[in-house]
Amino acid sequence: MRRVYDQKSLRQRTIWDHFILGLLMISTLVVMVPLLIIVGYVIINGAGALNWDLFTQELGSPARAMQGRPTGLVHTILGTAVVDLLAILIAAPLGLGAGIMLSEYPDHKLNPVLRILNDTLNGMPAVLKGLLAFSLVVKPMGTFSGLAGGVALAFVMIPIIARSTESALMNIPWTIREAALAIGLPRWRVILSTVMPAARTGLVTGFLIGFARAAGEAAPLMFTSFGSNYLPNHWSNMILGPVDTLPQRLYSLAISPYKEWHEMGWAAGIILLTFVMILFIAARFLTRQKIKT
Amino acid sequence: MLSQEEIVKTDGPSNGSPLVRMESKDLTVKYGQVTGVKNISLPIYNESVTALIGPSGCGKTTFLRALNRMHDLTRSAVITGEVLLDGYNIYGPKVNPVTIRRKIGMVFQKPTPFPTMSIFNNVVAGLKLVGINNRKLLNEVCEKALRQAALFEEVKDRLTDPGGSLSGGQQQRLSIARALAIEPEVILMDEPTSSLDPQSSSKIEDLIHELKKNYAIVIVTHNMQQAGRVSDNTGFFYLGELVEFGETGKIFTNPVNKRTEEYLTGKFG
Repeated sequence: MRRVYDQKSLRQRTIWDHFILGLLMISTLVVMVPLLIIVGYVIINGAGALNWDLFTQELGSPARAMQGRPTGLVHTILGTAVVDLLAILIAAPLGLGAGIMLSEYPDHKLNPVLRILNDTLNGMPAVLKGLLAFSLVVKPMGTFSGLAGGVALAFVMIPIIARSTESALMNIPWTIREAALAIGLPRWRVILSTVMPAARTGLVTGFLIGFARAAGEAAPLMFTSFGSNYLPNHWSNMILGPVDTLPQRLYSLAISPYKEWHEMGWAAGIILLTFVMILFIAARFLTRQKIKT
Repeated sequence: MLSQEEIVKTDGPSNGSPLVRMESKDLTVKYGQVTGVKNISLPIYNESVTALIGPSGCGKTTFLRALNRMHDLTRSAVITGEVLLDGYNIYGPKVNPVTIRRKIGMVFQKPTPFPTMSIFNNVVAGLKLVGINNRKLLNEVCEKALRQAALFEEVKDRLTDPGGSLSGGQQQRLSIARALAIEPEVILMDEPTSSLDPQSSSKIEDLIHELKKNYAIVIVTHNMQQAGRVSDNTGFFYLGELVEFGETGKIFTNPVNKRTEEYLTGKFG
């Protein structure tokens, strides 16, 4: 009887296999290299400007930097933390809710509308989200504020979190839900106690992707949190008054005419990168498989 | 939410066997235009095993899932007719499907341990997740259910291990233990041994023999020998209809309907 395949075709398939693997490795490199170049470039340029003052002093006027007086970004670092935290607090429940709706109630008649709205929000330029937050928060409050910045960044996060929540939950086999329903659990309990824990890693990853994306946005913050060269006189003004953030500060340092500020901009880049990286590592650590007993 | 008492003390089945525990009357399930099963009328006796057999796609599983309102999640599914549990229609206007499912447990084709839970938590999930936290009670229920499912001896020293760490056969018995832990009155089994090896299958069959002393069991199976071994009554489904229903012995040796005979002798299916 004739064999369906012979040695030659086996060798061909082996070669093909190696070829495809090679392609995969090349594309991985293509993805990795620019990232490493960016990180490396930021570190090389910014490392020299890293100093203790950066974390303890406020920026002040350009004269401070030029005259060699103490100047730093403490107000920016704190401001970023406040604005990003506000954003995730607003976006996490809304994005999660929308994602659960899309995944767990696929037959619901509102879902096609929700999906279109979500995709539109996702594709909308970030500047427009800033404008939206401006009219929703800045106008009524009568002032730029950290809160407005948080709302603007939340608009960036929500569609990303909703989409990733949906796909994380969809990855959990439907049989799990049926098994949970079959032991007489109400629908919300099924979602909360069996589906969501199983999808935990995916859910947290989604939060992070949304967070990291928003943490790097400068445009929506320009007319919401606005920016500032000084620490506010009271901590509550971080939320209720104009506040500085790293991406926006990075931008304004970079376009400034002062050499000292350019260097500080690179340092701000390092801080922002480190900030995001710590979050990713922490989240990886937190989501490692754990079994409740 | 059910009170603790309601869950723990379901009234045990009465002794007047054969008692009709459940009954479907003219039950029809449609998905949009497609009819899953039509006009099924079938009694389910207490303390006995009812097997549903028939070729793939004949509606056995569709019918089984209608018995504990699992179709509720499918918006396109339309159900007409009645399913009576102890005389009450489970599709009645004021009936909460969650309450029904606590009385009518279900075991699925594939073992479905909850992936993030330990063996212990898997077994008592139906109690713990509705707010029963009495550790002593949970321990008792867990041990009893695992013993009933013939799994206790194998897992008693590692109740805190993840449910997914068990073998396929053990996972299926874990799923059965989880169904038993809420002390249902009827147990529905959808091809419970189809993904298992012969040894595990025979363990499950032994288990069904044990369980029928206390429960009404309905089992869907592709394996006719299995239907013959475990069941007291058999229903033969074909193209969404119940072709024949009767005592298993009679159906297997002397079927009335020609279709049934042809299927049992392997002429189709």
